[in-house]
Amino acid sequence: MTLLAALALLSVVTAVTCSLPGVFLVVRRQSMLVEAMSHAVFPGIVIGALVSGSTRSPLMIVLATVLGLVIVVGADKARQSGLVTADASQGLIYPVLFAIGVALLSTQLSSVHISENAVLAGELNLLALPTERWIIGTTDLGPQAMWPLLLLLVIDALFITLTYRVLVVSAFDPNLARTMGLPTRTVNMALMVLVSLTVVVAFNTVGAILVVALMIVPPATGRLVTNRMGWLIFVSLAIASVTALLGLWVAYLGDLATAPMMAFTDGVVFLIVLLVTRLVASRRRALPA
Amino acid sequence: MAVLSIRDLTVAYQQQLALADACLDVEEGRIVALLGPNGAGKSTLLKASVGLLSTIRGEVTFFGRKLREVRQRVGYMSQAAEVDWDFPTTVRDVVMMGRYGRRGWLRRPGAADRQAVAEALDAVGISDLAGRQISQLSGGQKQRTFMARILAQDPELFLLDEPLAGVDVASQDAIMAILKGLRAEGKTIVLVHHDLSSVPDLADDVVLLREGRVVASGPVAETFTEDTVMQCYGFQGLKSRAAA
Amino acid sequence: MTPIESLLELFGNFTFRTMILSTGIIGAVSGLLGSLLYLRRQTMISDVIGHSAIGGVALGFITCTALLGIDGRSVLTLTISAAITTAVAVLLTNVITRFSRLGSDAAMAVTLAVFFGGGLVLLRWIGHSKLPNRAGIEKYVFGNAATLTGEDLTTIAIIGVLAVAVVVVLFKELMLSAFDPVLAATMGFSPRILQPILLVTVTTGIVIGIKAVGLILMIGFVMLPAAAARQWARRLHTMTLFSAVIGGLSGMVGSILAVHLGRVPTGPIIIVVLFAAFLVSLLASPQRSVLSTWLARRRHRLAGEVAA
Repeated sequence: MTLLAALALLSVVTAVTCSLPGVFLVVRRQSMLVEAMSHAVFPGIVIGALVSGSTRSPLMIVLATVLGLVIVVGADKARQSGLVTADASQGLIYPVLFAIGVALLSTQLSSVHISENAVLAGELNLLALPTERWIIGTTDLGPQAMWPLLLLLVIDALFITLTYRVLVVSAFDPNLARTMGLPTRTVNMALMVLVSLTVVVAFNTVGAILVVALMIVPPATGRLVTNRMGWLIFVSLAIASVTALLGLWVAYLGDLATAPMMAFTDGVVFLIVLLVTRLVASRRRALPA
Repeated sequence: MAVLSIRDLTVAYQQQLALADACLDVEEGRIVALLGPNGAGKSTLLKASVGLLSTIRGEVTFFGRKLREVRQRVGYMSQAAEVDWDFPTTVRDVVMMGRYGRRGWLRRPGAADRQAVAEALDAVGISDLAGRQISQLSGGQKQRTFMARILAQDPELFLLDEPLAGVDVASQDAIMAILKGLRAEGKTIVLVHHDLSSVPDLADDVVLLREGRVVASGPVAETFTEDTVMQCYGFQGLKSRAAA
Repeated sequence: MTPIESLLELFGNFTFRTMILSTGIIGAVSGLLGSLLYLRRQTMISDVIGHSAIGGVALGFITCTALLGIDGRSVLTLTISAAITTAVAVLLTNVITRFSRLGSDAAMAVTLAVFFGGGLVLLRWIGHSKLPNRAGIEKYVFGNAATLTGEDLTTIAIIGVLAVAVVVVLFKELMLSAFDPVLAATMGFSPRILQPILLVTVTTGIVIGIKAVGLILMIGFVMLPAAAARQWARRLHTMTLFSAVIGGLSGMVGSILAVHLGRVPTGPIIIVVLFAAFLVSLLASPQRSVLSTWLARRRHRLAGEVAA
């Protein structure tokens, strides 16, 4: 497998795996929860790496995922207390968690290798190198880092298929879902676990901060062009794949950082689609019906 | 036996009591209007009775039993203002949501559910809007969509939070006709209501709330008087009565 | 040596004095502005400001070194470029919210993608380029108060005083527009005048902290003091004052702690101090806290039992 092919595979799988749970966050208007979570999981990654010596161990993944959920539960508690405004409740907890992560990284962890660059932008390019492949016999199965992401994608897809209706009702009218006795809380919590897991697993490829762009922007772009939930999922995944390849291509030609370029492309594509849909809408309004 | 029985229901938001020792019995086949000024605790009473708010004390029974034993017989309709009307879905899909409580985890809605949805849409007169994206609906059409949804849910007790808020005259008449039709079928309706002038026409019983307390309750003829309204609303009530 | 003597000695040292004073001013200014954002329920916008500033840092550095030929690493140049860029970022967020049916949350994510993603691309490009003085530019993401110069302190102090002055002079108008924007507009305090003033003040006031405490954690500097102050204050005047005091004190205490601990960056330690202040306020302030709510509920419950 050529380097470019491996890069393309890893980019597309990362983008698709991120944007699938992102669809539900966009329609629930909880996009910035990803931002909070991706900062909050960071000390878990640092401590997990410190204990296990690698940024890919199961222990690290579990620890970091749990910290992501601290945001969800903590924000709920803060909101229910009525003492802090609803929008502030997430933002009060994650800065301190991220701060602890940064402090740990700069003091204790000379032994563990997580560079500041990896935190900010991930190591997508390095993870696609021939030394990082999964090779069985003589078959090159692509970058090792791609497989946990693919596994997560399958779990996400299964979960969404099984709980689709409950997810949709609890997103649209949670009061109705609860009074009908649907397992709203269980399903919501499971979704949050998957979001947190996605943030953690994607850390190696895209770092802690770009993940919000990869999870939210493709579904947000999809939302501009479709009004149906089912379509939105497919359109979002398609947009994620295309922007990932486009971003990679530009980064490859210009010798620029891949993951930041993917995020930037996502943002620019959104703005172009927004502009086009607005123009079409105003043109349609200008014409007599 | 009371369809809905509430004893000493008390709810607090932070340090403020939103509902204090509310007691209420609703008989079968009646339309009960919950009245009172803003912040009197009308919506709180409905929400707390179906377990959407945590309570400090009190007991609520439906048909003499706990809610979770009789969920299918109780329908709750949220305030239209509480949901996101930009959600990517259509009128038909929203009405179909009313059927989800009857389905298990994995079963997809069947022909009977589609039939029920079609009938509900027809009953509220919005069959022609079935495929429309919900963000394009008017206030009256939104409330009709919610009415259709609870009709598709087909409960025996309807708990409606402001079903007539933000509607045009035609929709108001349509929804009131549906409510009276349901009563004729023996269903029971409890609704949060704002328009005092339509109370005698619509409701059988009224419950007047003020500052989280039930100040009066009973049949319209006896309870919905100048005195009780004055006591409940203060000066404001007189004016809207005069206007009506 | 007593703790006070060691503190005095610390203050006698030029580098430490610069650090402590700078972080104190930064904490106080962001706390002051934070109380306004907090009440307008626009707290997450401070996260967008902090993260988007990276685009400003990169653009400002390129403009200064490649085009103007001056050092692009002083607080003044960083603040100007970051303030312009983040103001554009905030405007973009508002435009997206207005012209799409997506909420402001998704709009913020799009803005982050463009400005943070784009900023990182530029930063990496600078790292590979042959521009002079490029070493250390990426450090501004996490901040390092030890690199502050006396000139930087002067800049921070002047901008800080200006931001405070704007808030003091326009306090009545800002308070009214935060509480009831429609009423404010009908009374002639046009949002067309107030909004840009607030925008420039907030972005500038927030980004002066970049070099000292980094841009990723800026949201904590803005929100934590405000949320802490809210639990103690009944009025906006007092809340704003408390917020500034909590922010300023935490900034100074955090720097002192960071110096004592050694090898730890200043920004994160200040955030931990701020969080501790917030937690204490949330749990135990006499008027508005978890404790007082619990006591009130207990009273209600006991009253019910007595009645029954």
